[in-house]
Amino acid sequence: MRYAELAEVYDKVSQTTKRLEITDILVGFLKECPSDIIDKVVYLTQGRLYPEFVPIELGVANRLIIRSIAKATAVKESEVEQLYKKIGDLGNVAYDLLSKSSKQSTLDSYSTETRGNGVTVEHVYENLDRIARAQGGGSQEEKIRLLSDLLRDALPREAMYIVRTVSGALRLGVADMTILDAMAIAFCGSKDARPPIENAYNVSSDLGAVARILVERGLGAIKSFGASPGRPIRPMLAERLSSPEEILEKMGGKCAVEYKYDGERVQIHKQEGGSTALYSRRLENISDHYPDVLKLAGEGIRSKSCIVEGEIVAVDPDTGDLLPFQQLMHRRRKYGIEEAMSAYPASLRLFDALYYDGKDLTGEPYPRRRAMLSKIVKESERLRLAEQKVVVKAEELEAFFEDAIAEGCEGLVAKSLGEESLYKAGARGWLWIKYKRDYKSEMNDTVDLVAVGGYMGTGRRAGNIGTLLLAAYDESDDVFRTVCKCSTGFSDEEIRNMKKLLDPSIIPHRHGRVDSKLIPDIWLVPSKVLEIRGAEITLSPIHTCGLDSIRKGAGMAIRFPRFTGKWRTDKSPEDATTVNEIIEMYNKQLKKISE
Amino acid sequence: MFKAVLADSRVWKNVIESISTLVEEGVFLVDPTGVRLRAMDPSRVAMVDMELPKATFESFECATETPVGVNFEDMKNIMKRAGSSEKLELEKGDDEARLKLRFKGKSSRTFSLPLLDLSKDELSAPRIPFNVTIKTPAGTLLEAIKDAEVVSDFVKVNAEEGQLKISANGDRGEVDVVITKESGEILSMEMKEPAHALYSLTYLSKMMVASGLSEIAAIMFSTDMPMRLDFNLASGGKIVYYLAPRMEAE
Repeated sequence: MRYAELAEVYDKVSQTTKRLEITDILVGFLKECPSDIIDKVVYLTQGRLYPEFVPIELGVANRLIIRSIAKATAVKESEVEQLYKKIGDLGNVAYDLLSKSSKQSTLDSYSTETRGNGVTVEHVYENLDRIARAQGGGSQEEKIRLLSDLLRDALPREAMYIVRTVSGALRLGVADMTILDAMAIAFCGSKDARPPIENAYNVSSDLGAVARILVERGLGAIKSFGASPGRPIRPMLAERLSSPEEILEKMGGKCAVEYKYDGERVQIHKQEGGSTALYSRRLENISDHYPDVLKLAGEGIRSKSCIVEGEIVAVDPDTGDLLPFQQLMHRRRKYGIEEAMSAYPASLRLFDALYYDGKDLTGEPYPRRRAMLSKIVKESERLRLAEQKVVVKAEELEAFFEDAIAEGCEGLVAKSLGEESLYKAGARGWLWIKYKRDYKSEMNDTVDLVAVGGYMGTGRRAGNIGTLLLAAYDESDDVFRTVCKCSTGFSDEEIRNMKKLLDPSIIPHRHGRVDSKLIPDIWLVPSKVLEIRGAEITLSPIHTCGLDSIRKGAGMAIRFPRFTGKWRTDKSPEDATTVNEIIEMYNKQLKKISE
Repeated sequence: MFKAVLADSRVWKNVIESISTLVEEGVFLVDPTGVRLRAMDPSRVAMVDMELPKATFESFECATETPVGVNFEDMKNIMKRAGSSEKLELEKGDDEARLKLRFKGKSSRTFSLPLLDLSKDELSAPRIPFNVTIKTPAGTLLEAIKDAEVVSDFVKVNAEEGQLKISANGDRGEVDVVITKESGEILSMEMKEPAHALYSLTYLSKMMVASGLSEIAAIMFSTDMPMRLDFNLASGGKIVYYLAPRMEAE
């Protein structure tokens, strides 16, 4: 199949926002698509090569894409780069360069006749797959070779989408549910067929596989499709209420309540024959981050094969107390897992069993699943079932909630005990209701930060400064130390005028009073002060604010910073929030969680 | 296995420079008739086709065809060490994944270069009818290209009766270089019909590295078709380049 046909679908889809139109476009295309590549086409449409849980991802650095485009079009790298700065989208750069009429031809054009037809979906998929898998020495050159080979043969439109796909910027905005609708209509004649298809997706998290089974083996095969270890199940989600009375009323006067731990939700898949895998709430394979959890699961779960669900929590090895979730974030990286494992050993609190020795349990009510869970788990200090209790009175529920908070949990999850309390994969419903403290921003106050650098925007913000590098003031050394990059909260107009506003402060090098490990596109003389609201303060190796004050090598960063809209023109940069104030806010925040 | 001796190590040095200017790695095919290599630059815009027949060498022993895959940058660095009056001995044993390069002068110095396991799909040279063939001193062509580089990234090559015109224009200015039969700088000219085409100077100037190997350059081309550029070595053998044209803006 020609990739141009897929590119045409992308074109049409990106020209509309109406879900029904998108569905129609997809229906037409799916009907034409050869069945042996339908799974690949589905992944490609989502900007991927595999379902989320397969840890093979695209995401080629812009630098490599620029080199590949240069190589494929025989245009100088610097020219490609310049064009990128101007246009802000590498896909469009590739399109422009390939459709330019004056261009360097290749010798191929004089010896073969293949040019001009573009590339096939199969070829694109194969090369992208090899790019995603390339690693180790020489892999950069290999990636460039594979990508430039594709681009050289591609039609301009094809090249545009190939580049967007490899850079992770395809973003067609086609929802999973829209694809499910399209599959039902294309292969079963109407949307009525969607529920079993959706269920198959929910228990497998693999749209491509579902599409292929549907096309090749029909709706019958889809209907008998069940959970199986190795394919993560889309997690069941809870609704939320803010009083015990409401919860009990909704649950019919009686329910189970479980601690809601402040950790990382995990699905543990144990396959017959020994291999065990961990999947995050977002279905990524996170086994590599938690070798200790794999070991715990191996020792404590007595079954040949199973899928159980729970929360990975960090526990203070000295006190046994639960630690804030942030500590687990030390695991979200490639290196230093060993150190993180001994500093913050992980424990498990399991709350559900979805599969056991060949049997799909998602169709069983909650009490039976929980009973099964306690049967197969051999509890130890670090491997336990989530604290649970059956309550009928609001006071009981509230007391249990307070216990949970005191022990460092976020709150409770109430669970229905009725016959209808099945595991509804991928759905948010009233069978589970979470009860948490009313959300308080972990950072209670706004801070006033100084702009010390800027980054050029891409996409809609191309050609403008889209992000500011912000710093806090360190009065003891009279310098500004970076604490976050902020790109939200600015109006379109502010973004358009940003360059003009900052122009008098732009300098070609780092200002002597700025302490930064990051190198922005533009350096600024510290002068403008902005009011910023953040969600929380975290340790960060990339910022210099409060460096080494909590942990060696780590500074502090404000997570999810957002400009409030207030330029503090009344403040000089020396009046900005100080590094010490931020350290103090961080310490306070930690206290609150472990209170 | 093979063993070949060149009387002047600098010939090999120049040959390697003429190849490495376009390609990073490639495979020499050594067989009883000599050594040859054909490789395309990574953008597939240019090709180099090198041949050193057995007679080029002072002595040459090779029983069966032997592919020798090398990284040219590495080999170039070794060849930088060649002395002016040294012989060069190339040697590869049957099961060795290394090529020995021995400089023999006052002393005997042996380098050993690890070989690459590259696929040896043989490229075919483009088969293009050339309407124009012009021979000119390599130095004259080199100067014309250097002139053009002053003002532009590409050059227009134009052949008419009795003359070869090389012109360029860009933001930095314009230049015209005319090489005529009358002035004696066109040594021979065969023309079926006049021709003109655009070529990238980035590539042309790389290809002119080989001008040091030969007194004479032969240019062959047709309108909007690839150019072939030949350099014949005084010691026998030749370096041939092919370069795809730039297409004129509409």
